[in-house]
Amino acid sequence: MHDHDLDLVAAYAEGSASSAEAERAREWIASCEVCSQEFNYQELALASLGDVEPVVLSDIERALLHRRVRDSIASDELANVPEPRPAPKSGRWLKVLTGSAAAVLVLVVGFGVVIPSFTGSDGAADFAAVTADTIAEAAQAPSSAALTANDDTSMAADAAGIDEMAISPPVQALGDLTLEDLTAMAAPIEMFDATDATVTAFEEAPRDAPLPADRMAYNSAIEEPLTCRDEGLTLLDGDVLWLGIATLDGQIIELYRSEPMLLALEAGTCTIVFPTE
Amino acid sequence: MTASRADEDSLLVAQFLDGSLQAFNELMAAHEDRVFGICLRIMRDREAALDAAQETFLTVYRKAGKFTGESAFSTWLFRVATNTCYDQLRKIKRRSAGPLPDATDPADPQSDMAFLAVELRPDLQRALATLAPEFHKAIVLADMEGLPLQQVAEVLGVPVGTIKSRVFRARRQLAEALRNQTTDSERRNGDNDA
Repeated sequence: MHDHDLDLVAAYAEGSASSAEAERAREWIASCEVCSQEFNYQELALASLGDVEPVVLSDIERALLHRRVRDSIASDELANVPEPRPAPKSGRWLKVLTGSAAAVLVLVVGFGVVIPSFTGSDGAADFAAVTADTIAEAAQAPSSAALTANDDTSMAADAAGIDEMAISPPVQALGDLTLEDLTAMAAPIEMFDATDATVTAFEEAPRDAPLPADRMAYNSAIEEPLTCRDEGLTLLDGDVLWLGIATLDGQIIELYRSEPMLLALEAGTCTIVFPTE
Repeated sequence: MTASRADEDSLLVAQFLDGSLQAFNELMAAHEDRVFGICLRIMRDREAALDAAQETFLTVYRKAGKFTGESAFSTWLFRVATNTCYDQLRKIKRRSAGPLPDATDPADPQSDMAFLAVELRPDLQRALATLAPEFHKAIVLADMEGLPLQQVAEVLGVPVGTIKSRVFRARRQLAEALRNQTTDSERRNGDNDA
């Protein structure tokens, strides 16, 4: 029976043996066939494993992973919000928004675009309705350009929550987050554009409809070319999922979901409508 | 793993438990490649690995409150990833009523896709597929993902001496499998020449 310590030979092969242990291992390897074979096996394995490259997610895999996790989290959150939040929390978001009443709030959140249009104290409700309508429309036409995400299950979940969300969605969705919180999360935030359009509904645009030149310029300036013919998600530096385009009163609009918004908002309110002029 | 990474993780976990989704996002960004790597080495398929990585991070999201902080966050995370992978392999096995891929389902020797799927040399991939799960886990974490033995021991919940022994034995079996492939290949070539 072989009575040498093969683990010691293995430790010697990988270089983790002490000098005394190494001396013993060398003696065994020189005089013992089993130890010699063990040493050769360990060296062969180490050489083979040494060639292994570290695994890195591809850009597409990374985007998919982020999206799937976000969507699952959003679904979780949606499932766990059986009742609207109490009024005080609703008021917080309203207060932030009515501060810019009669103005147009335009945020570029990272690379995501949020353009709620408010015209007074009822603005939040308008936006809620707009958002819900938008999602409802999208949910009724899941194959439309407005919903070109690869995995539509999240949007189905969005749609499932519309009735509840329509009552006070932005408030409910934002929870304890204020606009300042969102701003801090989504830095850099910058003013991009302004519009007085009030989005009330949209219809599907031709898949190959060209974007207006100013939007194309904006998109080019952001990152890789963003074309309106892409299927599924288009990722802008890992931050935005571009879902599709549609027309609104003859105007082409784009639908966005931004990462910061996805994290901050529950499913249902994170479909963002951007009217292009 | 550096101390600063561990400290940063601890801070992010605390922030996440306080409600910061941004903190969760940062934790995921910091570890997603490593988690995916572990999943890929075990699942041997990029899509399956992506599913497992997704499930891993969702488990972290849902159960972060159960993380006690006794070990590094990454240790807990890798344990979740490893367990998730083997859970999914068991589900696959139940569905197909076939063998576990990492034990007795070697890739097609002629298949280039098997190589592309895990970015390993085909002979190494086949040799790895012959290892028993406990040896496979040890070699994936220690030799392929480069985790310190102490952390591998914590991830797998066994003493460090046991892990050391498993790694050595895994390497030995791996080398034997590689040698056998070479021998078989030479024998086939000899038959063809004759």
